[in-house]
Amino acid sequence: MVFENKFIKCTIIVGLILISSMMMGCLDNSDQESASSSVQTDATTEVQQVDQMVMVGAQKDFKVAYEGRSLVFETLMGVDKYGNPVPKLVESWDVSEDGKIYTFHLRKGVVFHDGTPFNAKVAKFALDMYMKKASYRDYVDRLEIIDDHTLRVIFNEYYDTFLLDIASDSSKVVSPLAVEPEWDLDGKIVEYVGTGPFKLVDYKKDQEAVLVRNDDYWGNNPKLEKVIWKTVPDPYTQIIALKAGELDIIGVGEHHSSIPYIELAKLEENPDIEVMIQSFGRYQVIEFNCQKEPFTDKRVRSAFNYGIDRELMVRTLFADVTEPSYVITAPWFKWGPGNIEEGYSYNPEKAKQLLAEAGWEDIDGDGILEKNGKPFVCELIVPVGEANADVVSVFLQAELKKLGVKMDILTLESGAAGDKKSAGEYDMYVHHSGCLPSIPGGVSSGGKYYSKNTNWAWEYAYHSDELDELIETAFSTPDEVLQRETLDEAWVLLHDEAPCIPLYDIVKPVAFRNKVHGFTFPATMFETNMQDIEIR
Amino acid sequence: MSLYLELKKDKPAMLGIVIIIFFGSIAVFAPYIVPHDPLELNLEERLLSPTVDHPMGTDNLGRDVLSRVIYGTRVSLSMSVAVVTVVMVLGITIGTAAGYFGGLVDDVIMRVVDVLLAFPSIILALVIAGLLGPSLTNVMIALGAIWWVSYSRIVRGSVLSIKEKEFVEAARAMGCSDVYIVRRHILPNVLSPVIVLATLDMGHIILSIAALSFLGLGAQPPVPEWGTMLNEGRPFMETAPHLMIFPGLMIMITVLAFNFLGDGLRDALDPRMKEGAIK
Amino acid sequence: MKKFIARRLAIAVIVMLGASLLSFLLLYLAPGNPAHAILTAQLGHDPSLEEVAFFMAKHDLNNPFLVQCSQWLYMITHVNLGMSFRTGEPVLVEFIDRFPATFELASASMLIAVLIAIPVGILSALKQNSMLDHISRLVSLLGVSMPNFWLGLLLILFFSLKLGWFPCFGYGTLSHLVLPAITLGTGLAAPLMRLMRASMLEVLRQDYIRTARSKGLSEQVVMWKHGFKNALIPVITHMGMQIGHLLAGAVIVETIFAWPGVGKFLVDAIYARDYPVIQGFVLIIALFFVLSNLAVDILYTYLDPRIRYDVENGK
Repeated sequence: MVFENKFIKCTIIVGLILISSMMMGCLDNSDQESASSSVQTDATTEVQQVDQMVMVGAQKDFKVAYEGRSLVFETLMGVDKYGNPVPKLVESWDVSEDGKIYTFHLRKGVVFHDGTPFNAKVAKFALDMYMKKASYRDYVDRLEIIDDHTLRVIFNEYYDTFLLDIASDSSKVVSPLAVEPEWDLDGKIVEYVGTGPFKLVDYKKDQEAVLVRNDDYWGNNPKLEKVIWKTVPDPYTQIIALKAGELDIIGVGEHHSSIPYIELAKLEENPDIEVMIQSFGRYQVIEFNCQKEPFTDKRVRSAFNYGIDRELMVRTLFADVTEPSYVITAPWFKWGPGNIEEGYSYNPEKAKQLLAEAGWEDIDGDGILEKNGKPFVCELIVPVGEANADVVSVFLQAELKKLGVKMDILTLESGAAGDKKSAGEYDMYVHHSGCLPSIPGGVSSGGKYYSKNTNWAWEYAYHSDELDELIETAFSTPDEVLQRETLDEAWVLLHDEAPCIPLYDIVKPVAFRNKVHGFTFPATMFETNMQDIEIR
Repeated sequence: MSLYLELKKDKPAMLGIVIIIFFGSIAVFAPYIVPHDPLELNLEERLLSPTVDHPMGTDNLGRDVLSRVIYGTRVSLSMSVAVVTVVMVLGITIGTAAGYFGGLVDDVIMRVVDVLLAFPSIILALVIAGLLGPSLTNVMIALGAIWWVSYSRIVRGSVLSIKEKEFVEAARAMGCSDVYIVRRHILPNVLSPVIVLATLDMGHIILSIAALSFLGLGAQPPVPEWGTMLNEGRPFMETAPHLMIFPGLMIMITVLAFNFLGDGLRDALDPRMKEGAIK
Repeated sequence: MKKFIARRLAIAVIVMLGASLLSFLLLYLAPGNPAHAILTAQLGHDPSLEEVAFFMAKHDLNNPFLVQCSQWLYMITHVNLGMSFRTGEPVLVEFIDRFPATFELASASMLIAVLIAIPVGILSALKQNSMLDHISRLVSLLGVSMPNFWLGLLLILFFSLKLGWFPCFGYGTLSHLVLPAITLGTGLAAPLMRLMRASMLEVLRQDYIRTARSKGLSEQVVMWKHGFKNALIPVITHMGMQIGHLLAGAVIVETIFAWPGVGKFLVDAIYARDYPVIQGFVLIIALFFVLSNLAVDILYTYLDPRIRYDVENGK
């Protein structure tokens, strides 16, 4: 008996100690501030001894992330923020009147990190290699080497996005000697040897990659001598390490928003840290199944668009870091809906009215609308990995409930979600509006709103013959004025049909310690730009 | 009855029972005792530290953590009871089949058991749940699919020993059917060790469900499951540690209660193990 | 003895074959196409149907079930686990690259567990029903009842964020090892401690201890030479059996602490549906499990001469 009593006492005492210590930890926040700042100063002094070096924290391993690769490899073409092609390894180019012949004048004096010179032969090798799986391969007739620095690509049919395609990471130019077997089109890239501003000198899988400046770079030499790419998979860990000075810059290594938006305000308050935010025009959208009741009805789709308070969402979920979006994709893209003046701003009354017009009424007074005796219940599919989708979906659920709609959330692994999407077994689907170097917004020959698109087919997205025709006209002409006029028409049509709910701009935040100066964003979210960074 | 008397003397086990009954009633009456709707967002009151109105604070969407923790009791307990039931049914059926019929059936089943035992269970569960996609149902399937193994072994063992008993021989001599013998003579004798094992396992199962949910494979938002809540609260560890502390405490207390009870049960059933080890 | 080992090895081979079939079957039956998940991660946008088709063809994913299955069996019997879908590296290389980190974590955790469990276990046995005994019982129960991912988070919260004593992630130095090893070690220590205590008590009741005492040997000699050594046998067995579980526990701990080990890579592979990595890693872990159990059984016979496996002792 004595044993048991003692035991109970111990249980209670230990339990109390445990709980109270946790409570203490929970309540005293002031202590933590001073503790972490002392850590910071220690670490800072240590790092400052090293000159012109930057420690990057990235979620993915260096070789897995294209953002990292873009420091080592370059592409033939580049693209600017709006979607216009710009020179890269191709210094200038001519396109024939009918848009079928591209003549590339290659940059001279470019040398790979292994000393191999970059010339037309290498460029042809790169194009041939990627053409094996590129979507333009059936359109290409042949490649011709005109001279050492001129390459011609001859198409048998007009192909609208060729210049964009060769601006993407999947068309990076690799030294033919770094392919095994050398110069083999079916070979495997075994070494990271490109023409970029940095050379990969050391690499430890899942841990770090060490890059040093390429002093023979054809462009302006970067000021940084060394970049250390550290793999830190957890974004919160990245933040802690940044604060502690174990990392210098975070957020550059991911195309999504790797730093949770909600953390940015706190980071900005930190005197040692600066934050920069850039929009790449990629919006998060909720795609409807436009072939399934009740979303076949345009009024229901519009009602959902009007019924969601995106400003509240952006303010409370994301601390106003980003902007709510009311049109399908960023209006400032070359092909964007710049002509749409009135977006779907918050208007719950109009939403309710539209639903009523569509025949949805709450007859039994349970707070859920009914039509023909059936309650308005729908399902949102959330593919794992969509940015912020976990909180956004819960927010949408609450907003739609106010309209009298019961929305269930189904989170699926992205492959399984994709299967449901293809089979049309969904009501709503979390997606995004796409970004460069693909044509964003779904209005293009590879876009989701083009029904004859075979490569990125989305059978249950909004489609119509009229829209198909407009898209075909816009993207089968090299005439930019005609293209713009047709696109304007297409956007008016599409916006009115409300094929999706645009929610907010998935901006990319980058945070760095204030010794890092001169950081600028690249044009697309898949690149990293370290060109002007200087440590002071 | 003697089991009850034995247990009654064991204070930790009684404490375990009290906690389990308490949490059980919380789970059953959750809708009547929660101070707030566990799913209702209140975006103006996000990440509040514990106050009188919200004794465990609020989460990143302004939901009341206490209410979510209370509903979490419901999710965790019902899930683990469901898993244990599935596992018991599977284990008893398969184990009885192996033990009673013997021969080829036994061989095949036991080789399958050997194969499953070759995997660390949580890894197999992780793979199954990960491949099926994140959901509570899939976690239940994953855990059910691996956990029956140890039960079927035990059941097989006791069936083998019971099978040789005189009353079974007698029944068979009287021409009773297999089904009758199993139902009438074998199952009742097999049931009690299995129930004890199940009690001992409840803690493990609760922990496994929480672990899989923590890895993002279990309950999906907005379901208030403890492991999922921990996962959701993790980003706010620095600013709002209460999001992490309370669900974790709940898991620990519940599992502790089952371990107290399980220990007591084992001691009561096997006095030689009075000083016993945990497995 | 030889017969026993041969028999166990034969069973191990059958089990491994079954295990690989099972892991193959699991992936074959899993919903969703790995091409989609992997290409989305690689390209940063939804893959085109053509890219998916290319991927499927490249990795032989279109072949009928039996063909794929026999390909896989052929490969593993030739010690070839295939290439990772994501990194393009051989799965075995991926495993070997990451194993040292996991091994380091596992050994450190085991060390911590042993350092705590054995002395405390012995003391509680010697001072049965003392305050120390009760506290250690309670603490060990708490240890097994606490989710280890939660313990890991609490340690990060207090020792990294509040006190700044240890880094909260990463790999390399000893200070990186401390928190993950404690997290993993605690879960191990608790049952080990109870086992040590029970085993010690059991041994102290045995006749040969009484004999030793009555021979007039000093209490210390009795305790250490006769008691401790014999009490250690079940503890060592248990430790051996824990090797597989250690790998399993490492999965979660590595994920929390971004420890670049086998477990973390496996979890990532599961999320990304990197089939060859999942199959290969699961198989290697199963192999570890089977071999460590076998090793324990053999070791057991040496430690305890009373055990003979030549006679099948039905367990």
